[in-house]
Amino acid sequence: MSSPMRSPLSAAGGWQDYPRELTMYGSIPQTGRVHGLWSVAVGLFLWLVRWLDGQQQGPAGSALLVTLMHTLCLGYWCWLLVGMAWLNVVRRRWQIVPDARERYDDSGVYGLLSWPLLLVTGLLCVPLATALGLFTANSAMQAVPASWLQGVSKPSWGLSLVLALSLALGTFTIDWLRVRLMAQQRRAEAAQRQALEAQLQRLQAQLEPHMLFNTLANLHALIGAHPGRAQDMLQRLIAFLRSTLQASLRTEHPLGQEFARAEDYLALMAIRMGPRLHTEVHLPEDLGDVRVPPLIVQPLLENAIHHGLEPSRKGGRLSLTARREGQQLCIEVLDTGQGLLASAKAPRREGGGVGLQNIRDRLRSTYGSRAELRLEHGPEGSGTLASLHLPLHR
Amino acid sequence: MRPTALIAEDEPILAEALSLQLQQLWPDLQVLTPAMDGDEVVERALKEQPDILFMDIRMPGRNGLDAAEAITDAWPVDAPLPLLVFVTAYDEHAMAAFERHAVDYVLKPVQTERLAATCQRLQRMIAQRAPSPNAAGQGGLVAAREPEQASLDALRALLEAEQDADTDADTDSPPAPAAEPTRLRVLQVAVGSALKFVPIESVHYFEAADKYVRAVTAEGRQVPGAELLLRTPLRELIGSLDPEQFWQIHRGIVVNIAAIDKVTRINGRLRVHIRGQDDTLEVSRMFSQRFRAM
Repeated sequence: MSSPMRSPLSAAGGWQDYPRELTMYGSIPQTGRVHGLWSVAVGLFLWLVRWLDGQQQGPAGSALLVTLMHTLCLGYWCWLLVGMAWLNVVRRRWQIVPDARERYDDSGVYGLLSWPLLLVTGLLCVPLATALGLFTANSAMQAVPASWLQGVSKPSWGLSLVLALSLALGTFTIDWLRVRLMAQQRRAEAAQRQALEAQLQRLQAQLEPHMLFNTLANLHALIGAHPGRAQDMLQRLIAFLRSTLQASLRTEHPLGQEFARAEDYLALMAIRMGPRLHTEVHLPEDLGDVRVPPLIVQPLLENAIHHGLEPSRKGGRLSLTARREGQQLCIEVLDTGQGLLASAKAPRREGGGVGLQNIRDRLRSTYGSRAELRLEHGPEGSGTLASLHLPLHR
Repeated sequence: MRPTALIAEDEPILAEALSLQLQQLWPDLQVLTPAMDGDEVVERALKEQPDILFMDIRMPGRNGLDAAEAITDAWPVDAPLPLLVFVTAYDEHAMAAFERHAVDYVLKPVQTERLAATCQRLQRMIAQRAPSPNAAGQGGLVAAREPEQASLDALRALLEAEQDADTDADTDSPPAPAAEPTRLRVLQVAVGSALKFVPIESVHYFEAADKYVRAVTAEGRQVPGAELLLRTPLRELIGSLDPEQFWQIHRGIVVNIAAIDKVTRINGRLRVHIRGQDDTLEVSRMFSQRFRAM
């Protein structure tokens, strides 16, 4: 591919990821199986109807042979001609249609076909297939001894045309259903895998090794010197780990639980950072039962501590509050740390920015456009105010 | 004299615990009040001159590696550098780098046996360097003690590894394959509305300044307002310079050796004199090993 015109890498779908299913080697054999079975089924059905009706002429075996021969030949040509026409068109449309890939993923070959095209192939390919099918069937019949075929009538032109049309329609309808079913299965599997990945990712983010080992180091230090405080800290850690594990398995939980978890986390951080961290948590009683996505507040707390308070020598205050604003729930995380500007200047550590993006993605998938995350400078000119605005009712 | 140790650790409980553990394992060691952040440790270390530094990596202010560099750079020339031990809870990059460069480190929670082994090694090193405290000042311009040179090399490698890790995290791309880097031959610098072409040989030195890198040439100095400012960070620029021609002499300075007139020791520190210019550039201790008489 030396000419840039012929290597449309910039087109919707490049050739390197052109699905095999859309080539002669992928789709045609698949559809071929459907066509064979369907043609045989129709042939048997026709023969049975005639036989029951008493219209049968000649011996039953010969009639069946002739009927099957005709349905198979007609079906074969319909399948071959229509299939080739479609694949050629699809190959061209792959470069033109911008969402070719999505359409293909959704309903295979059929996602890339248009109604006018279906009509044209129906009008052109089916009559042609009828002519070729009749010719093939008649040629094949020459090989059969004439005595076998005595008294058996061959299908007329008109009947053959109708037969061909219904064979084509049947074959491709069944194939369409097959493709749709497969796509649905694939989508379901992908969704399941994504959910699992998201869950693992959240779990990993929560149990950040640096946090875990530092907390354990504090416990290790406290056990000898201050067993009482160590016990208290251990209880907080256990509650934090348990609720993190539980929350990562759910899609929503009460705000009260979210805040309880946040309190455990903040208590752990307060022990670690000593006098450098002061925390405040306020949840109005009537909001405790509002359902929220689990662990949605956690990344905001971590950001406030990692980027706002931990880098600051004198530390500061972190407050977590929830309140009602009309039909909305507003959750605020305010810190008096070094603020957005300073933390943007600092070199990013691993995972920088992932937390906020993660929250936005989850808000979008849960509430659509009815929820948002805002980041502002703190009201007193220092620190950062992060706020979540969620609808109170789904 | 009893050896002294300074702990840099922002979490008070951990600082206290480490100092207790040290006192139990090494009763002769005098543990100073811990420093609570990266800036404090630099200030205190320079003032109190401990023999050993226990350095946390993640701290408010400067991180542990940067603090170690700042201390090394500003350390009095006639005193032996403090022995460095890094302490970290979990830092994949750092741990890998420590392993590679054989730098002493301990993991949090600090295990007593591990700390005991570290203490024994530190005791041996202190005993080794005790007999000849005045080795410095003799010999040529630079009389780096062998073990000290090794630890300087290790620290420099760690800082480079840290920068690489940062760049990787920023771009989210896999580490670039080690291809032969393309050498810069000409700088293209925006000066006013013009794009100026400056041959790389005519640059005397590069100096990192806040967001920019300043390229200083013979003519650039005399024409005010005609400064050559590059937006490429210095560490990226270094990669495309010939390492034989351009020597890094400080974290923020890379010098064209063809422009060096002489190197002198002023107040115990090496300074580079640029041909045809009056001012001099300081050579950081981290990079001084290349300046030796043939």
